[in-house]
Formats: sequence, C-alpha cells, structure tokens
Amino acid sequence: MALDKGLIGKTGEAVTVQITHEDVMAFAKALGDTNPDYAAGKAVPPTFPIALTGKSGAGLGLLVSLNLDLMRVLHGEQEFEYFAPLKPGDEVTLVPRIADIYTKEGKRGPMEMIVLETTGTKKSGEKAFVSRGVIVYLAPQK
Amino acid sequence: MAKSEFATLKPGDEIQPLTKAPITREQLLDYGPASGDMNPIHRDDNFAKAAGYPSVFAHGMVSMGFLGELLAARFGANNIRRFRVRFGAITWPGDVITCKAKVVKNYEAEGERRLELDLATVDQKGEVKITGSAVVAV
Repeated sequence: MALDKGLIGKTGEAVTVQITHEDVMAFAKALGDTNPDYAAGKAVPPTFPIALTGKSGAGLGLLVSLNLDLMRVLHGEQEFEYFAPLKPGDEVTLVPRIADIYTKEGKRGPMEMIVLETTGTKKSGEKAFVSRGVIVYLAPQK
Repeated sequence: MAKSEFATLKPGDEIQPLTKAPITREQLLDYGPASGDMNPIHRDDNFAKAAGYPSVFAHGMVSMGFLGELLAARFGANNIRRFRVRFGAITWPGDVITCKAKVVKNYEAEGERRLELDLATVDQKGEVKITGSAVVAV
C-alpha cells in the first residue's frame, strides 16, 4: 500500500494557461476579497496560483499516477514563493513535479506525505512563482 | 523603493487583523469551480460523513486565501515574496475567522526592506486553525 518512492522527481506534463480577469474575479469573490487591485487588473490574489494549477489540471496526471483514495487525502501545508507579479492577460506555463514522498507518524497511524511542486513561468521566460503543496495521505480507516 | 509606514515596524509588532464574515456552504460551493478543487469532501455532506467527518468543511486554501487577503490589503499583493501555511485544525461552515500577522524580523535583502511575519487564523472561540509565515517587501 505504500506509495512508490520511485516517483520522487517525476515531472508532469507542462500546461500553458492564460490568466483571465473573469477567473481572477471569481476567485476573489469566492474568498469574499474585495481588494480593488483585482478589479483594476493590477494584481491577482496571493493564493491565485492554486487556481491556475487546479483549473488546468496541471499535476493531475502525477496525482493519478499515485492512485490515491480521495477519502484519505488532506492538504497539510502550502507554500508560495513569488518572483514576478501576475495579472490578467499573462500567459503562464506550469510545470508540476513530485518533489518528495515521505512517511510521518499521525494520530491514525503512519501517514504518507507527498510534496507536489509547481513552477509557473511567464511567456517572457521570467519565473513567476513556485507553489509547493504537501498532501497528507492518511492511513486507511479501521 | 516606496516609502512605507511599515518600514519601521519591530519584532513583536502586530499588523491590523482582518475578521471575515462567517464561512458559508455556498462559499465552499463557489470556491470549488473558482479554484478547480472539486473534492466532494467540501461539497457533499454524505461524502464527508463517509470519510469520517461530521459535515463538509472548508478547503484549507480558503483559510490561506483569507490570510492572503490580509497580506494584500496591508502590504499590496505584488509585495509578497513568500507565503506559507500549515493546515492545523479544520475550519467549519459557520466559523468566523480572524486573520492575524505579527512581525518577526525587519531586515534588508535583495535591495529592499522586508518584514518576516508570523501568521495565524483563529475562530470565534479563539481556537488557532492554521499557522504560517510570510515575507513582504515594505
């Protein structure tokens, strides 16, 4: 049942997406965030990169290759590093990668931790962000 | 480099907090397609119960989004250099979340003045839900 550690370092398919004003506004609205910079097209919410990966399915292939049971999946940690600002109209290429898989002792037994890292690069070649999510894979329910 | 009232903050100084409206199930339904996270554990009570939870609960990223709102409102979205959180306790529909940030360090790096901040969300009972840190340029 243990996850295949041989998948560490595996890179998923690169996906290129365009940031739309509509997507930025829907994201901000769901959070109840009325920052005027988003309506003005000057910036995107700090956690918006998660929508770029989530909506494009970048990294999904990698997750499918891990064959996870959704009922046992939790989002444990999330980190963003920002290198260049994003705004509507920007085209971003997302490259996902399994950065690490390790085991940790949890309340319900041993948990497996999967670090999924996605790098977002602008069309100009400038790196915009790195998103690093730690997925907790709980032990099966007894 | 823009002159900023934050440039003179010291370790221990608190940033003006942000209290959000109560989390609603409708908001979680909206956040799904807006973020691309359609995990039924946030959308379907029966699924959540089958997975061992009393009801649906908020995506961790909703809480991180609230902290992001605080950081962007105070410092500007494009001035955030790093932002990380650890999802601790689960946040439920009805919870009233307050986002807090406290200065840990005021320093210069890569030609700009930066603050390192400790972050937390707490609910209406004062329970800490998620903790984290951020680096912002001021």
